[in-house]
Amino acid sequence: MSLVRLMQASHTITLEQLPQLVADHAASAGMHDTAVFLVDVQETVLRELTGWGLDAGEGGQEFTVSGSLPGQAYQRVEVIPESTRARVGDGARRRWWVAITDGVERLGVLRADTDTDTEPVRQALKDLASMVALLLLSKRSFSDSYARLVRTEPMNVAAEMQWNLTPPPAYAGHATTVGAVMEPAYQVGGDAFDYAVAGHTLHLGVFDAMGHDTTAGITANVAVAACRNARRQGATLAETSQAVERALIEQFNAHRYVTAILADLDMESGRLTWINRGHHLPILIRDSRWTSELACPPAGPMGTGLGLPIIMATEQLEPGDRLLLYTDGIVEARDARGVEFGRDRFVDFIRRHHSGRHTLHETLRRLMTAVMEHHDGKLDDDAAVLLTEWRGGHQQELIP
Amino acid sequence: MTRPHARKDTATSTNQPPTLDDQQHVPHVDVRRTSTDRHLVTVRGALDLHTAHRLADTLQPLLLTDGHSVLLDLSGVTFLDSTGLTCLITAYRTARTNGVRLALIAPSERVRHMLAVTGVDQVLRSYPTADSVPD
Repeated sequence: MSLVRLMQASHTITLEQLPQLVADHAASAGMHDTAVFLVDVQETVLRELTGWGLDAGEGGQEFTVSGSLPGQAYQRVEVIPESTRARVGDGARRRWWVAITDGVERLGVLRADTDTDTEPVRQALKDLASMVALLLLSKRSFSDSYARLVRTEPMNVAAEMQWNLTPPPAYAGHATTVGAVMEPAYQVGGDAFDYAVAGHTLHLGVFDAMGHDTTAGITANVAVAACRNARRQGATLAETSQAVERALIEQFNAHRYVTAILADLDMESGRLTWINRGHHLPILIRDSRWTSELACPPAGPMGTGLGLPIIMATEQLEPGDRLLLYTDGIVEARDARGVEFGRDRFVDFIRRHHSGRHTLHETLRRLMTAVMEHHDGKLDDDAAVLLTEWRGGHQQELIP
Repeated sequence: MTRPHARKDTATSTNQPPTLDDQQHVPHVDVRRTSTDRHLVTVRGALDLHTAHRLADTLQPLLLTDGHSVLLDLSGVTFLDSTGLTCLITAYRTARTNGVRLALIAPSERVRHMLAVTGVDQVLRSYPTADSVPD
Protein backbone atom coordinates (compact mmCIF):
# COMPACT_ATOMS: atom_id res chain seq x y z
CA MET A 1 0.00 0.00 0.00
CA SER A 2 1.20 3.46 -0.70
CA LEU A 3 1.03 5.38 2.54
CA VAL A 4 2.22 8.41 0.62
CA ARG A 5 -0.88 8.26 -1.58
CA LEU A 6 -3.06 7.96 1.52
CA MET A 7 -1.37 11.04 2.97
CA GLN A 8 -1.81 13.00 -0.26
CA ALA A 9 -5.50 12.08 -0.49
CA SER A 10 -6.04 13.14 3.14
CA HIS A 11 -5.14 16.79 2.52
CA THR A 12 -8.55 17.68 1.12
CA ILE A 13 -10.84 15.63 3.35
CA THR A 14 -12.52 16.18 6.72
CA LEU A 15 -12.26 14.00 9.82
CA GLU A 16 -15.62 12.46 8.92
CA GLN A 17 -14.21 11.12 5.63
CA LEU A 18 -11.08 9.70 7.21
CA PRO A 19 -12.39 6.21 8.22
CA GLN A 20 -13.52 5.45 4.65
CA LEU A 21 -10.31 6.77 3.10
CA VAL A 22 -8.22 4.64 5.46
CA ALA A 23 -10.40 1.58 4.82
CA ASP A 24 -10.08 1.92 1.05
CA HIS A 25 -6.31 2.29 1.09
CA ALA A 26 -5.84 -0.46 3.68
CA ALA A 27 -8.05 -2.92 1.76
CA SER A 28 -5.89 -2.52 -1.33
CA ALA A 29 -2.96 -3.61 0.84
CA GLY A 30 -4.68 -6.67 2.32
CA MET A 31 -5.90 -5.09 5.58
CA HIS A 32 -9.67 -5.45 5.54
CA ASP A 33 -12.62 -3.99 7.40
CA THR A 34 -10.48 -1.38 9.20
CA ALA A 35 -12.00 0.87 11.85
CA VAL A 36 -10.53 3.74 13.84
CA PHE A 37 -11.32 4.10 17.57
CA LEU A 38 -10.53 7.25 19.56
CA VAL A 39 -9.88 7.40 23.29
CA ASP A 40 -11.83 9.91 25.43
CA VAL A 41 -10.09 12.69 27.38
CA GLN A 42 -10.06 10.60 30.58
CA GLU A 43 -8.72 7.52 28.74
CA THR A 44 -11.58 5.27 29.88
CA VAL A 45 -13.34 4.32 26.62
CA LEU A 46 -12.48 3.75 22.96
CA ARG A 47 -15.13 5.01 20.56
CA GLU A 48 -15.40 4.14 16.92
CA LEU A 49 -14.96 6.97 14.43
CA THR A 50 -17.67 6.18 11.86
CA GLY A 51 -17.85 9.58 10.18
CA TRP A 52 -21.58 9.81 10.82
CA GLY A 53 -23.53 12.14 13.10
CA LEU A 54 -22.48 15.27 15.00
CA ASP A 55 -19.73 13.41 16.86
CA ALA A 56 -18.67 11.39 13.80
CA GLY A 57 -19.31 8.30 15.88
CA GLU A 58 -22.94 7.48 15.18
CA GLY A 59 -23.65 3.75 15.00
CA GLY A 60 -20.15 2.93 16.16
CA GLN A 61 -18.90 0.40 18.68
CA GLU A 62 -17.44 1.30 22.05
CA PHE A 63 -14.95 -0.55 24.27
CA THR A 64 -13.68 0.18 27.75
CA VAL A 65 -9.94 0.75 28.13
CA SER A 66 -9.95 -1.57 31.16
CA GLY A 67 -10.97 -5.16 30.55
CA SER A 68 -11.26 -5.31 26.76
CA LEU A 69 -8.87 -6.60 24.10
CA PRO A 70 -8.80 -3.25 22.21
CA GLY A 71 -8.16 -1.65 25.61
CA GLN A 72 -5.21 -3.96 26.15
CA ALA A 73 -3.69 -2.92 22.82
CA TYR A 74 -4.15 0.68 23.94
CA GLN A 75 -2.68 0.20 27.43
CA ARG A 76 0.35 -1.74 26.27
CA VAL A 77 0.84 0.12 22.98
CA GLU A 78 1.02 -3.20 21.13
CA VAL A 79 -0.30 -5.12 18.13
CA ILE A 80 -2.73 -7.69 19.56
CA PRO A 81 -4.54 -10.41 17.54
CA GLU A 82 -7.91 -11.85 18.53
CA SER A 83 -7.57 -15.51 19.49
CA THR A 84 -10.11 -16.91 17.03
CA ARG A 85 -10.22 -16.38 13.29
CA ALA A 86 -13.39 -15.16 11.59
CA ARG A 87 -14.65 -17.11 8.58
CA VAL A 88 -14.68 -15.11 5.36
CA GLY A 89 -15.83 -17.05 2.26
CA ASP A 90 -13.62 -20.15 2.04
CA GLY A 91 -10.91 -18.85 4.31
CA ALA A 92 -10.60 -17.33 7.76
CA ARG A 93 -9.21 -13.93 8.70
CA ARG A 94 -7.26 -12.81 11.73
CA ARG A 95 -8.58 -9.67 13.49
CA TRP A 96 -6.02 -7.25 14.92
CA TRP A 97 -6.04 -4.35 17.37
CA VAL A 98 -3.21 -1.82 17.06
CA ALA A 99 -2.52 1.21 19.26
CA ILE A 100 -2.61 4.51 17.37
CA THR A 101 0.18 6.70 18.74
CA ASP A 102 2.01 9.79 17.69
CA GLY A 103 5.39 9.24 19.30
CA VAL A 104 4.11 8.52 22.78
CA GLU A 105 0.74 10.29 22.69
CA ARG A 106 -1.94 7.62 22.51
CA LEU A 107 -4.91 8.60 20.36
CA GLY A 108 -6.82 5.32 20.18
CA VAL A 109 -6.72 1.95 18.43
CA LEU A 110 -7.00 0.66 14.87
CA ARG A 111 -8.90 -2.52 13.98
CA ALA A 112 -8.05 -4.56 10.85
CA ASP A 113 -8.53 -8.09 9.48
CA THR A 114 -5.84 -9.94 7.49
CA ASP A 115 -5.54 -13.29 5.74
CA THR A 116 -2.14 -14.07 7.22
CA ASP A 117 -0.39 -13.21 10.46
CA THR A 118 3.25 -12.93 9.46
CA GLU A 119 5.77 -10.44 10.79
CA PRO A 120 5.47 -8.25 7.64
CA VAL A 121 1.71 -8.07 8.29
CA ARG A 122 2.33 -6.89 11.85
CA GLN A 123 4.75 -4.27 10.53
CA ALA A 124 2.25 -3.10 7.89
CA LEU A 125 -0.40 -2.73 10.63
CA LYS A 126 1.98 -0.64 12.74
CA ASP A 127 2.86 1.55 9.75
CA LEU A 128 -0.81 2.09 8.94
CA ALA A 129 -1.59 2.99 12.58
CA SER A 130 1.32 5.41 12.57
CA MET A 131 0.01 7.15 9.46
CA VAL A 132 -3.53 7.23 10.86
CA ALA A 133 -2.14 9.01 13.95
CA LEU A 134 -0.66 11.78 11.82
CA LEU A 135 -3.87 12.10 9.79
CA LEU A 136 -5.99 12.34 12.97
CA LEU A 137 -3.70 15.02 14.42
CA SER A 138 -3.89 17.01 11.18
CA LYS A 139 -7.70 17.14 11.54
CA ARG A 140 -8.10 17.32 15.33
CA SER A 141 -7.39 21.01 15.89
CA PHE A 142 -10.34 22.20 13.80
CA SER A 143 -12.81 19.37 14.24
CA ASP A 144 -15.72 19.79 16.66
CA SER A 145 -16.75 16.21 15.86
CA TYR A 146 -13.42 15.01 17.28
CA ALA A 147 -13.94 17.08 20.44
CA ARG A 148 -17.48 15.69 20.82
CA LEU A 149 -16.47 12.07 20.29
CA VAL A 150 -13.75 12.15 22.97
CA ARG A 151 -15.99 13.68 25.65
CA THR A 152 -18.31 11.61 27.79
CA GLU A 153 -19.89 14.50 29.71
CA PRO A 154 -20.42 18.26 29.26
CA MET A 155 -17.38 20.48 29.84
CA ASN A 156 -17.36 23.84 31.65
CA VAL A 157 -15.84 26.99 30.14
CA ALA A 158 -12.72 26.85 32.32
CA ALA A 159 -11.99 23.26 31.25
CA GLU A 160 -12.55 24.22 27.61
CA MET A 161 -9.84 26.86 28.07
CA GLN A 162 -7.43 24.57 29.93
CA TRP A 163 -7.52 21.81 27.32
CA ASN A 164 -6.65 24.37 24.66
CA LEU A 165 -3.95 25.89 26.84
CA THR A 166 -1.92 22.78 27.58
CA PRO A 167 0.37 20.94 25.14
CA PRO A 168 -0.39 17.29 24.21
CA PRO A 169 -0.09 15.18 27.36
CA ALA A 170 2.87 13.19 26.05
CA TYR A 171 6.33 13.83 24.66
CA ALA A 172 9.44 11.76 24.03
CA GLY A 173 12.77 12.85 22.63
CA HIS A 174 16.39 13.55 23.62
CA ALA A 175 16.38 10.60 26.03
CA THR A 176 13.51 12.21 27.90
CA THR A 177 9.84 11.32 28.26
CA VAL A 178 7.14 13.66 29.54
CA GLY A 179 3.60 12.72 30.51
CA ALA A 180 0.79 14.73 32.07
CA VAL A 181 -2.70 14.23 33.44
CA MET A 182 -5.32 16.72 34.59
CA GLU A 183 -8.58 16.13 36.45
CA PRO A 184 -11.48 16.64 36.83
CA ALA A 185 -11.31 16.67 33.03
CA TYR A 186 -14.67 18.37 32.54
CA GLN A 187 -14.54 20.92 35.36
CA VAL A 188 -10.88 21.90 35.64
CA GLY A 189 -10.55 25.30 37.26
CA GLY A 190 -7.10 26.79 37.52
CA ASP A 191 -4.58 23.97 37.18
CA ALA A 192 -2.33 23.84 34.14
CA PHE A 193 0.95 22.34 33.01
CA ASP A 194 3.31 23.34 30.24
CA TYR A 195 6.43 22.00 28.60
CA ALA A 196 8.38 22.97 25.52
CA VAL A 197 11.61 21.99 23.85
CA ALA A 198 14.27 24.40 22.56
CA GLY A 199 17.52 22.79 21.44
CA HIS A 200 18.44 20.41 24.23
CA THR A 201 16.57 22.36 26.89
CA LEU A 202 13.24 21.07 28.13
CA HIS A 203 11.17 23.82 29.78
CA LEU A 204 8.73 22.51 32.38
CA GLY A 205 6.03 24.23 34.38
CA VAL A 206 3.13 23.32 36.64
CA PHE A 207 0.64 26.01 37.64
CA ASP A 208 -2.18 26.32 40.17
CA ALA A 209 -4.37 29.41 39.89
CA MET A 210 -6.44 30.06 43.00
CA GLY A 211 -10.14 29.27 42.83
CA HIS A 212 -12.19 26.91 40.71
CA ASP A 213 -14.32 29.28 38.68
CA THR A 214 -13.99 30.59 35.15
CA THR A 215 -11.80 33.42 36.50
CA ALA A 216 -9.38 30.76 37.77
CA GLY A 217 -9.21 29.45 34.20
CA ILE A 218 -8.59 32.96 32.87
CA THR A 219 -5.91 33.52 35.53
CA ALA A 220 -4.13 30.30 34.52
CA ASN A 221 -4.31 31.31 30.87
CA VAL A 222 -2.76 34.72 31.55
CA ALA A 223 -0.02 33.08 33.63
CA VAL A 224 0.91 30.41 31.08
CA ALA A 225 0.76 32.86 28.15
CA ALA A 226 2.96 35.37 29.99
CA CYS A 227 5.36 32.56 30.90
CA ARG A 228 5.70 31.39 27.29
CA ASN A 229 5.98 34.94 26.03
CA ALA A 230 8.88 35.81 28.33
CA ARG A 231 10.58 32.43 27.81
CA ARG A 232 10.47 32.74 24.04
CA GLN A 233 12.19 36.13 24.33
CA GLY A 234 15.06 34.50 26.19
CA ALA A 235 14.13 35.41 29.77
CA THR A 236 15.67 33.42 32.63
CA LEU A 237 13.43 31.42 34.96
CA ALA A 238 13.40 34.22 37.53
CA GLU A 239 12.71 36.88 34.89
CA THR A 240 9.96 34.72 33.42
CA SER A 241 8.20 34.44 36.77
CA GLN A 242 8.53 38.19 37.27
CA ALA A 243 6.92 38.77 33.86
CA VAL A 244 4.05 36.49 34.93
CA GLU A 245 3.78 38.43 38.19
CA ARG A 246 3.52 41.75 36.34
CA ALA A 247 0.90 40.41 33.90
CA LEU A 248 -1.24 39.05 36.75
CA ILE A 249 -1.06 42.21 38.87
CA GLU A 250 -1.95 44.30 35.81
CA GLN A 251 -5.03 42.12 35.19
CA PHE A 252 -6.19 41.26 38.69
CA ASN A 253 -4.61 43.84 41.02
CA ALA A 254 -3.30 41.21 43.47
CA HIS A 255 -6.72 39.63 44.00
CA ARG A 256 -5.78 36.52 42.02
CA TYR A 257 -2.57 34.59 42.24
CA VAL A 258 -0.88 31.56 40.68
CA THR A 259 1.59 29.23 42.36
CA ALA A 260 4.06 27.44 40.13
CA ILE A 261 7.24 25.47 39.73
CA LEU A 262 9.20 26.56 36.65
CA ALA A 263 12.10 24.34 35.60
CA ASP A 264 14.64 23.86 32.82
CA LEU A 265 16.15 20.45 32.17
CA ASP A 266 19.29 20.19 30.08
CA MET A 267 18.49 16.92 28.32
CA GLU A 268 22.15 16.31 27.42
CA SER A 269 23.74 16.81 30.82
CA GLY A 270 20.76 16.04 33.06
CA ARG A 271 21.20 19.32 34.92
CA LEU A 272 17.93 20.65 36.33
CA THR A 273 17.47 24.27 37.31
CA TRP A 274 14.24 25.49 38.86
CA ILE A 275 12.44 28.11 40.90
CA ASN A 276 9.60 27.85 43.37
CA ARG A 277 6.76 30.38 43.25
CA GLY A 278 4.91 29.22 46.35
CA HIS A 279 4.11 25.73 45.09
CA HIS A 280 4.40 22.16 46.36
CA LEU A 281 8.02 21.03 46.00
CA PRO A 282 9.01 18.69 43.14
CA ILE A 283 9.66 15.06 44.00
CA LEU A 284 12.61 13.14 42.59
CA ILE A 285 12.38 9.34 42.27
CA ARG A 286 15.69 7.53 41.79
CA ASP A 287 16.10 3.80 41.09
CA SER A 288 12.44 3.27 42.05
CA ARG A 289 13.68 3.02 45.64
CA TRP A 290 14.89 6.38 46.76
CA THR A 291 12.71 9.48 46.67
CA SER A 292 13.28 13.00 47.87
CA GLU A 293 11.56 16.33 47.87
CA LEU A 294 13.79 18.89 46.16
CA ALA A 295 14.27 22.01 48.23
CA CYS A 296 14.04 25.64 47.20
CA PRO A 297 12.72 28.54 49.31
CA PRO A 298 9.36 29.79 47.99
CA ALA A 299 9.39 33.22 46.35
CA GLY A 300 5.67 33.75 46.95
CA PRO A 301 2.79 33.09 44.56
CA MET A 302 2.95 35.02 41.27
CA GLY A 303 0.52 37.94 41.31
CA THR A 304 0.84 38.76 45.01
CA GLY A 305 3.74 41.19 44.68
CA LEU A 306 5.32 40.13 47.98
CA GLY A 307 8.77 41.01 46.64
CA LEU A 308 10.49 37.92 48.03
CA PRO A 309 13.89 36.96 46.59
CA ILE A 310 13.71 34.42 43.74
CA ILE A 311 16.27 31.73 44.34
CA MET A 312 17.31 29.34 41.60
CA ALA A 313 17.94 25.77 42.72
CA THR A 314 19.94 23.19 40.78
CA GLU A 315 19.98 19.41 40.81
CA GLN A 316 22.08 16.93 38.83
CA LEU A 317 19.82 14.14 37.56
CA GLU A 318 21.05 10.60 37.06
CA PRO A 319 19.92 8.43 34.15
CA GLY A 320 16.55 6.89 34.98
CA ASP A 321 15.51 9.66 37.37
CA ARG A 322 11.87 10.68 37.39
CA LEU A 323 10.77 14.17 38.32
CA LEU A 324 7.24 14.73 39.61
CA LEU A 325 5.62 18.15 39.46
CA TYR A 326 2.07 18.21 40.79
CA THR A 327 -0.73 20.27 42.27
CA ASP A 328 -2.37 19.73 45.65
CA GLY A 329 -5.54 18.11 44.30
CA ILE A 330 -3.60 14.88 43.76
CA VAL A 331 -2.44 14.41 47.32
CA GLU A 332 -5.41 16.07 49.04
CA ALA A 333 -8.19 14.08 47.32
CA ARG A 334 -10.20 12.63 50.20
CA ASP A 335 -12.27 9.49 50.44
CA ALA A 336 -15.72 9.23 52.09
CA ARG A 337 -14.10 9.10 55.54
CA GLY A 338 -12.00 12.17 54.84
CA VAL A 339 -8.72 10.29 54.41
CA GLU A 340 -6.38 12.00 51.96
CA PHE A 341 -4.88 10.12 49.01
CA GLY A 342 -1.66 11.51 50.40
CA ARG A 343 1.83 12.21 49.14
CA ASP A 344 3.22 8.81 50.15
CA ARG A 345 0.50 6.87 48.35
CA PHE A 346 1.00 9.13 45.31
CA VAL A 347 4.77 8.59 45.15
CA ASP A 348 4.44 4.90 45.94
CA PHE A 349 1.94 4.46 43.13
CA ILE A 350 4.28 6.02 40.57
CA ARG A 351 7.19 3.98 41.88
CA ARG A 352 5.44 0.60 41.87
CA HIS A 353 3.58 0.86 38.57
CA HIS A 354 6.25 2.50 36.55
CA SER A 355 9.06 0.22 37.66
CA GLY A 356 7.02 -2.69 36.29
CA ARG A 357 5.98 -3.13 32.70
CA HIS A 358 3.77 -0.08 32.31
CA THR A 359 4.84 2.89 30.25
CA LEU A 360 5.04 6.29 31.89
CA HIS A 361 1.74 7.33 30.30
CA GLU A 362 -0.09 4.16 31.29
CA THR A 363 1.19 4.67 34.85
CA LEU A 364 -0.29 8.17 34.89
CA ARG A 365 -3.61 6.92 33.49
CA ARG A 366 -3.78 4.33 36.27
CA LEU A 367 -2.78 6.90 38.88
CA MET A 368 -5.67 9.14 37.90
CA THR A 369 -8.08 6.18 37.97
CA ALA A 370 -6.86 5.37 41.49
CA VAL A 371 -7.18 8.99 42.67
CA MET A 372 -10.68 9.23 41.19
CA GLU A 373 -11.71 5.93 42.76
CA HIS A 374 -10.35 7.07 46.09
CA HIS A 375 -12.59 10.09 45.76
CA ASP A 376 -15.71 8.21 44.61
CA GLY A 377 -15.21 9.27 40.99
CA LYS A 378 -15.61 12.97 41.66
CA LEU A 379 -12.79 15.33 42.60
CA ASP A 380 -13.57 18.52 44.53
CA ASP A 381 -10.25 20.06 43.70
CA ASP A 382 -8.21 20.30 40.51
CA ALA A 383 -5.37 17.85 40.20
CA ALA A 384 -2.52 17.89 37.70
CA VAL A 385 0.67 15.84 37.41
CA LEU A 386 3.61 16.41 35.09
CA LEU A 387 6.01 13.47 35.13
CA THR A 388 9.40 13.66 33.41
CA GLU A 389 11.79 10.76 32.99
CA TRP A 390 15.37 11.42 31.99
CA ARG A 391 17.26 8.38 30.78
CA GLY A 392 20.43 9.95 29.45
CA GLY A 393 21.51 7.78 26.52
CA HIS A 394 18.83 5.06 26.71
CA GLN A 395 16.49 6.55 24.14
CA GLN A 396 15.64 3.23 22.43
CA GLU A 397 13.67 2.11 25.46
CA LEU A 398 11.40 5.16 25.26
CA ILE A 399 9.17 4.39 22.31
CA PRO A 400 6.50 3.30 22.52
CA MET B 1 -6.07 25.02 45.74
CA THR B 2 -7.76 23.28 48.62
CA ARG B 3 -11.45 22.98 49.10
CA PRO B 4 -13.10 21.39 52.12
CA HIS B 5 -14.50 17.95 51.56
CA ALA B 6 -18.26 17.62 51.28
CA ARG B 7 -18.79 20.90 53.00
CA LYS B 8 -22.19 22.47 53.21
CA ASP B 9 -22.59 26.08 52.19
CA THR B 10 -23.45 27.16 55.68
CA ALA B 11 -22.42 30.78 55.48
CA THR B 12 -25.72 31.76 53.93
CA SER B 13 -28.08 29.29 55.61
CA THR B 14 -29.88 31.22 58.32
CA ASN B 15 -33.26 29.50 58.42
CA GLN B 16 -32.08 26.60 60.56
CA PRO B 17 -30.71 26.91 64.06
CA PRO B 18 -26.95 26.43 63.89
CA THR B 19 -25.71 22.92 64.52
CA LEU B 20 -22.29 22.08 65.83
CA ASP B 21 -21.16 21.52 62.25
CA ASP B 22 -22.39 24.96 61.20
CA GLN B 23 -20.58 26.64 64.03
CA GLN B 24 -17.31 25.22 62.80
CA HIS B 25 -17.71 26.83 59.41
CA VAL B 26 -19.30 30.19 60.11
CA PRO B 27 -16.40 32.45 61.04
CA HIS B 28 -16.69 34.62 64.11
CA VAL B 29 -14.68 37.78 63.83
CA ASP B 30 -14.15 39.78 67.03
CA VAL B 31 -12.24 43.03 67.30
CA ARG B 32 -10.73 44.27 70.55
CA ARG B 33 -8.66 47.39 71.04
CA THR B 34 -5.86 46.40 73.39
CA SER B 35 -4.05 49.77 73.47
CA THR B 36 -4.25 53.11 71.70
CA ASP B 37 -2.35 51.85 68.66
CA ARG B 38 -3.07 48.12 68.80
CA HIS B 39 -6.06 45.97 67.74
CA LEU B 40 -6.53 42.28 68.34
CA VAL B 41 -8.74 40.59 65.73
CA THR B 42 -9.82 37.04 66.55
CA VAL B 43 -11.15 34.71 63.88
CA ARG B 44 -12.80 31.35 64.51
CA GLY B 45 -14.11 28.81 61.97
CA ALA B 46 -13.29 28.36 58.31
CA LEU B 47 -11.62 31.17 56.40
CA ASP B 48 -12.55 30.43 52.81
CA LEU B 49 -14.42 31.41 49.66
CA HIS B 50 -17.68 31.86 51.58
CA THR B 51 -16.37 33.73 54.60
CA ALA B 52 -13.12 35.56 53.80
CA HIS B 53 -14.91 38.77 52.81
CA ARG B 54 -16.16 39.21 56.43
CA LEU B 55 -12.60 39.32 57.71
CA ALA B 56 -11.56 41.62 54.86
CA ASP B 57 -14.36 44.07 55.74
CA THR B 58 -13.36 44.02 59.40
CA LEU B 59 -9.65 44.49 58.74
CA GLN B 60 -9.88 47.25 56.13
CA PRO B 61 -10.52 50.26 58.48
CA LEU B 62 -7.92 48.99 60.96
CA LEU B 63 -5.13 48.99 58.36
CA LEU B 64 -5.19 52.68 57.49
CA THR B 65 -3.29 54.40 60.32
CA ASP B 66 0.48 54.63 60.06
CA GLY B 67 2.26 53.20 63.08
CA HIS B 68 -0.63 51.04 64.30
CA SER B 69 -0.46 47.29 64.88
CA VAL B 70 -3.08 44.72 64.01
CA LEU B 71 -2.71 41.29 65.58
CA LEU B 72 -4.73 38.59 63.89
CA ASP B 73 -5.49 35.64 66.16
CA LEU B 74 -5.93 32.61 63.90
CA SER B 75 -5.76 29.93 66.61
CA GLY B 76 -9.44 29.08 66.03
CA VAL B 77 -9.25 28.91 62.23
CA THR B 78 -10.09 25.34 61.24
CA PHE B 79 -9.65 25.72 57.51
CA LEU B 80 -7.93 28.13 55.13
CA ASP B 81 -8.36 27.99 51.36
CA SER B 82 -6.83 30.08 48.57
CA THR B 83 -9.47 32.81 48.98
CA GLY B 84 -8.70 32.95 52.70
CA LEU B 85 -4.99 33.23 51.90
CA THR B 86 -5.70 36.01 49.39
CA CYS B 87 -7.53 37.88 52.14
CA LEU B 88 -4.41 37.68 54.34
CA ILE B 89 -2.12 38.71 51.46
CA THR B 90 -4.36 41.66 50.54
CA ALA B 91 -4.40 42.75 54.20
CA TYR B 92 -0.60 42.48 54.29
CA ARG B 93 -0.26 44.62 51.15
CA THR B 94 -2.61 47.28 52.53
CA ALA B 95 -0.74 47.26 55.84
CA ARG B 96 2.64 47.55 54.08
CA THR B 97 1.43 50.51 52.01
CA ASN B 98 0.04 52.35 55.05
CA GLY B 99 2.87 51.63 57.47
CA VAL B 100 0.77 49.31 59.64
CA ARG B 101 2.22 46.22 61.28
CA LEU B 102 0.16 43.08 60.70
CA ALA B 103 1.10 39.98 62.68
CA LEU B 104 -0.48 36.54 63.09
CA ILE B 105 -1.14 34.91 66.43
CA ALA B 106 -1.00 31.12 66.88
CA PRO B 107 -2.04 29.90 63.43
CA SER B 108 -2.99 26.21 63.40
CA GLU B 109 -0.72 23.56 61.88
CA ARG B 110 -2.77 23.48 58.69
CA VAL B 111 -2.67 27.26 58.27
CA ARG B 112 1.05 27.41 59.06
CA HIS B 113 1.70 24.73 56.44
CA MET B 114 -0.07 26.75 53.75
CA LEU B 115 1.78 29.94 54.74
CA ALA B 116 5.11 28.08 54.62
CA VAL B 117 4.51 26.34 51.26
CA THR B 118 3.64 29.63 49.57
CA GLY B 119 6.32 31.69 51.32
CA VAL B 120 3.78 34.09 52.80
CA ASP B 121 5.20 33.29 56.27
CA GLN B 122 8.31 35.25 55.24
CA VAL B 123 6.34 38.51 55.23
CA LEU B 124 3.51 37.74 57.66
CA ARG B 125 5.21 36.93 60.97
CA SER B 126 3.55 34.61 63.47
CA TYR B 127 3.76 34.79 67.27
CA PRO B 128 2.59 32.23 69.82
CA THR B 129 0.51 34.74 71.84
CA ALA B 130 -0.65 38.34 71.55
CA ASP B 131 1.53 39.24 74.54
CA SER B 132 4.67 37.95 72.83
CA VAL B 133 4.43 40.47 69.98
CA PRO B 134 7.06 43.15 70.65
CA ASP B 135 6.02 46.79 70.74
